[in-house]
Amino acid sequence: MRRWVITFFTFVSGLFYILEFVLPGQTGTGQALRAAKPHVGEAIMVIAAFAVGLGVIGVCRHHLRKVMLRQKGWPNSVALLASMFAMATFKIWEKYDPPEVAQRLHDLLFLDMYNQLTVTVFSLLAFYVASAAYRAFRVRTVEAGLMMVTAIVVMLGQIPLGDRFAALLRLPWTFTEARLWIMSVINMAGQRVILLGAYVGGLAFGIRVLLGLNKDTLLEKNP
Amino acid sequence: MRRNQPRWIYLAMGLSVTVPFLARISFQMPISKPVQRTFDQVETLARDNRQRDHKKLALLVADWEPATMAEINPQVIALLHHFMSREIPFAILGFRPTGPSLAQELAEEVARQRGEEYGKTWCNWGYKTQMDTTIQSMLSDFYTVVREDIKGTPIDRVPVMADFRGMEDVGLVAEFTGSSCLLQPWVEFVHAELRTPIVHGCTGVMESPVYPLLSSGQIQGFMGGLSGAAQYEQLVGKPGKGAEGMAAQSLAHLLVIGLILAANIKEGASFLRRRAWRP
Repeated sequence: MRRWVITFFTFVSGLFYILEFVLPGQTGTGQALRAAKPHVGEAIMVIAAFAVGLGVIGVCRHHLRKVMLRQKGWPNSVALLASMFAMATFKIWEKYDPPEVAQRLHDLLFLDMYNQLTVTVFSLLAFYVASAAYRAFRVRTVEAGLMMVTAIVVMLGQIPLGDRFAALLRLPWTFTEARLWIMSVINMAGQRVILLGAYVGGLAFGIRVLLGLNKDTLLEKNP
Repeated sequence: MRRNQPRWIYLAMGLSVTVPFLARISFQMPISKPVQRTFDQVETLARDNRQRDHKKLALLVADWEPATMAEINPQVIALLHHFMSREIPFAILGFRPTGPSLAQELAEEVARQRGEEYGKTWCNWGYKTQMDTTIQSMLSDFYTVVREDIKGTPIDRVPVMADFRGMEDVGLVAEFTGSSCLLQPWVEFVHAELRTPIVHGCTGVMESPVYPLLSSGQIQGFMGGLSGAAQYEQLVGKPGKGAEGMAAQSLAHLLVIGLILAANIKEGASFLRRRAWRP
């Protein structure tokens, strides 16, 4: 039963957007579908909001169980639950009854903690990249050599000092030009191949989902 | 020494990104074509707006997060200076929870410097979910999707929205994100249906997937990373964090190049040594 309900709604929703796109807007059906589009969109947003709610319940169940059974890493689960509820509480408090305290607490959590922690974690990448460049980037094959030369040209083309080096070395081109050529010719050809492949795959996958042939979507296990 | 190697590398990287900031070194950047095209697109909107009865809005799509704000914020600040200097009204919208508030902060900062006011120069449509569906619904009936601004004012009572009829009154979409997949729906729905020009701001590492869209004319310009920001700052004559950051980025890039070369020279030397000792 569940399988048929999911397949039916998936098919109808997919068909709605296909017909809305394909049918000319001047025809009666086309006009009706176009008029219904914002309302269908709203319905999808409501369903998505339920999905967020389900996600929160899922996260709570998983981490509460971990805390109660004192499983490995349970203090992290406490931190996660506390942060989640604190952020939600102060945001709702601030939105519906905006006293200065709620605003300041929300700013403290969001601007002064969340933002800064995210930035800090991301900035650590610079250090790992530098370390990895020294320890892992070895030119042992022709392909690796080409990759290294390309990487160096692109990096030098990204910075203003690169063109000064090119002038010092009396190169007939600047690194900015070389980088632009690599990005807009070689890189673009590769990107187009990847994109075309991905879109053809996406189309095939979309048709499978629409026709109810994809077992993962139907919450069934693959054989 | 070998065991302490990562520490020396970390120290060198730390110094290379902090010293230029403290020394306040900045460089002139050569302007790349994608950045120049972004600038030209804003100029075109400003020129067209001067000839219209009611001005078209620029839509600043704020889909970046704190992790990428070091690169994206300078781009947005430069673009906001450009919008405000050319009297282009704009709206902010985001499909990432943090985006609209980050963009609002920047708009308020630039507005303070230029004496502009929220509501008259710009408004914030806030955070929306379900990007594909929302964009499609906005194209069909804008006011069903956007009913109030970020401060809770009904959207039709915000002065800057007085003449706004729908997405056809958006003269430019400026999409800023650290993830290239968030650009795609604007191209697929808004540019495909209304031919609205799209410009894009992204992090340096996310530049490569954008080139095919630029070459096919599906987007009209873009600025990538801190380098794009520095170039745009130069074009609008407002040097800021982009230009300041380029010195740090230059040294960091040179350090990484140096490390790659040093490691390979070391590897090559030890290979030759091994071969020389082989009987």
